[in-house]
Amino acid sequence: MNKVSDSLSETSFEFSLSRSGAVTVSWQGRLLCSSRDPLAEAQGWTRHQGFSVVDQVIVLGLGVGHHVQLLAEQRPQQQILVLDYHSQLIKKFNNENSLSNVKTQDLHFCTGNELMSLIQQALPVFAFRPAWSGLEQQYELLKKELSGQSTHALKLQAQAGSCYQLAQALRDGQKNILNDYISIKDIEVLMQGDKNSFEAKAWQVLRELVK
Amino acid sequence: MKVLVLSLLRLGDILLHKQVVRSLNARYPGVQVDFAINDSFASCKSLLPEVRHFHLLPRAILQRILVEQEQSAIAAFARLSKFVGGINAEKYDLILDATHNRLSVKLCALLEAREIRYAGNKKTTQNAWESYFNNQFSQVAKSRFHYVDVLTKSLGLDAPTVLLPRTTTAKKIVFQVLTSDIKKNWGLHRFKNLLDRVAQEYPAYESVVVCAPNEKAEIEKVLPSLQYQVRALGLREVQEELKSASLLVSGDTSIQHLAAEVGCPVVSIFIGSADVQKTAPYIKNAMLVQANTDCYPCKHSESCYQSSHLCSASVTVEEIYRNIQVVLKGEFMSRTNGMQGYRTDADQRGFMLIAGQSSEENLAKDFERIIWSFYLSNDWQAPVPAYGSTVYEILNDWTQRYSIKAISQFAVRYQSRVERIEALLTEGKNSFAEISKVCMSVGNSPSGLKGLLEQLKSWHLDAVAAFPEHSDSFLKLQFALHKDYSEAFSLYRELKSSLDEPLNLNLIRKQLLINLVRSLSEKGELYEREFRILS
Repeated sequence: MNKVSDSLSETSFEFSLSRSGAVTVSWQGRLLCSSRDPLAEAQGWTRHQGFSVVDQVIVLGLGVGHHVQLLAEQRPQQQILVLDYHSQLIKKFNNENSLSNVKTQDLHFCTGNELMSLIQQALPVFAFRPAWSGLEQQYELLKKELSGQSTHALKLQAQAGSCYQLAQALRDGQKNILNDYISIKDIEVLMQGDKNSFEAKAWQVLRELVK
Repeated sequence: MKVLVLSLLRLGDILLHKQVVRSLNARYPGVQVDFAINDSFASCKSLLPEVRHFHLLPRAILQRILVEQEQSAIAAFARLSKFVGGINAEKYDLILDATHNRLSVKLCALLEAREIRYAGNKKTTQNAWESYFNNQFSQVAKSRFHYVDVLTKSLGLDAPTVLLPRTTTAKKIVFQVLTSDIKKNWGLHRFKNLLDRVAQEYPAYESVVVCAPNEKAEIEKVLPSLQYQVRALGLREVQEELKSASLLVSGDTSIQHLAAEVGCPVVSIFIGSADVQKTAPYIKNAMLVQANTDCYPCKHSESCYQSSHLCSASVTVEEIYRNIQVVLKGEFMSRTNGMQGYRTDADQRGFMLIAGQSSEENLAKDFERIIWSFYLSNDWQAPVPAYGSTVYEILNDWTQRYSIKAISQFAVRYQSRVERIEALLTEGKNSFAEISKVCMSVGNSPSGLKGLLEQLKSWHLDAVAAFPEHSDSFLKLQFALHKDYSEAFSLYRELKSSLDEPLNLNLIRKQLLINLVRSLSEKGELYEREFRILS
């Protein structure tokens, strides 16, 4: 790999040119995207993402940002919110790109209220895991919250989404799922109370869809 | 009148559900019909001009949210609520669940309409056809009726008339060489041999291979584009091809149903899990060739466990070619006895008939179908059941295919079978009488009935072994015998209604047979000639 100068010089980040000629980045010696061909990696990643017709999505993990650029080009109608813990990378990405449908948010400066508001929106979350390197646990926890797999997050989302019966069941703690990831199966168990409500019946349909 | 049909299965089923629309139009002239389908099949909308509006269930994305958990389950809830809200806002007079699975039953519980017909709806009385659909058709047991007939009858509609192939002077044969299920694929090399044979014997005919765009490369490896016309087409374009074709040769695919819809004659290859009785194209004179192996038909959900695809090898190129000849010549009744396979037709009561070769076994099968349809449609409980006229219709058809002597021999042998079944059922009745006696005396606990139940189970096994061709008569009883009961009374009630099924069927069997024998013996040797004059 050929080293290139880092205009934002931060000792812990190292920008290089990959074998394919595209820029790649590492942080404290950990690669935040492919060192061989980050563009091919970005292409493969975008191909895998669904939710092409929703208005807004979250991309969790920026890295050097090839995947965000590609996604933004492929989905000009979609608002993309990129969340990352590396302020330096966010700055560099914003300086080098002016994509009208992309917004970035530095997780270091994200307030509790902002996070809560994001969780309540229950947006699709696209995880770009190579960019999580070294901070996997933090990102994983955040993904769990954003995609409503924790009791706390699901409760917030249930209230915002008018799923009052589920919110109530989560408040009552009918099942000890605090440390687990909540799945549709858990929701089915939580909704055992009033099986005749619209909400309970709708959850039964959703459960049936994945049986 | 506004009706919604829930059609949440695959493309072939959606196309077959067009027949439900025909039944609805016959029952409610001027009816406005909407469909609910999976959004992955939105492209088939143009094939169903009779449907006013489609509600699209975002099934794939719901599954993605719930399985891959890239979004909160609350988002899935919101999407489903929107779908349901869209349906309920239409205020339908009637919703028909043509999907008939656990998902659709649960979905029906969310829907609002003046009437909703779905399996297990406790607000409506279950008709015998619905019970047949649940207990026989949807299970591994073979069905005596086509899917469209069982479905429409179980939804409380009349079965539509079986479609007629159009006459054509076209000289084009369309081949659909791949199916969506690898087990149902006959094999590209066999199709190549068939195409070569057709080109050699019918040089005036144009052969066109149709496929989906993603199948073209695979097909062209065996059928190179320099020699064969391989066309990657959308559904609408395939429909246009079929409108100007003289024949479609296909596996059990949605394309065969598309062909039936435009009156294009069909030769279809049924292998793997494809069952001629259940999913034949709903058109007369389709020629169906099925596999001839012990493992056929296999379960839809299971992959092939054989070391090679035996069922596809059991259907020869020669056999398919002979069936093509029959269709192109229009000589459907001239099939020789050596030929495998079936021809579709309509029976005397309007249901689709999958006619096999002329044999006593098939006479018995045809007769049993009539008995079952009498039973399921409740016609046997009419003040004056139409046994006589039904027998007249049966003979009208049979005498075109069988000699009077063959029919008489069948009747004599069948009479003895009916008597043996009756004797067996009397034993079962006695065994059940013991159970009901104990039920009355021991109160409401089923525990004291264990010994007697074992006795009835053993009788049931003997009955099925003695009359395997009538095993479906005892299927309901089989389910009833293997259920758990907490109350003796519910056990009694369930067993009684299950035992009533073979008893009532035998009652109808006897009545029809009496009429058959009477008609045959009254007319004696002169019958054949006189009957032909009458008909």
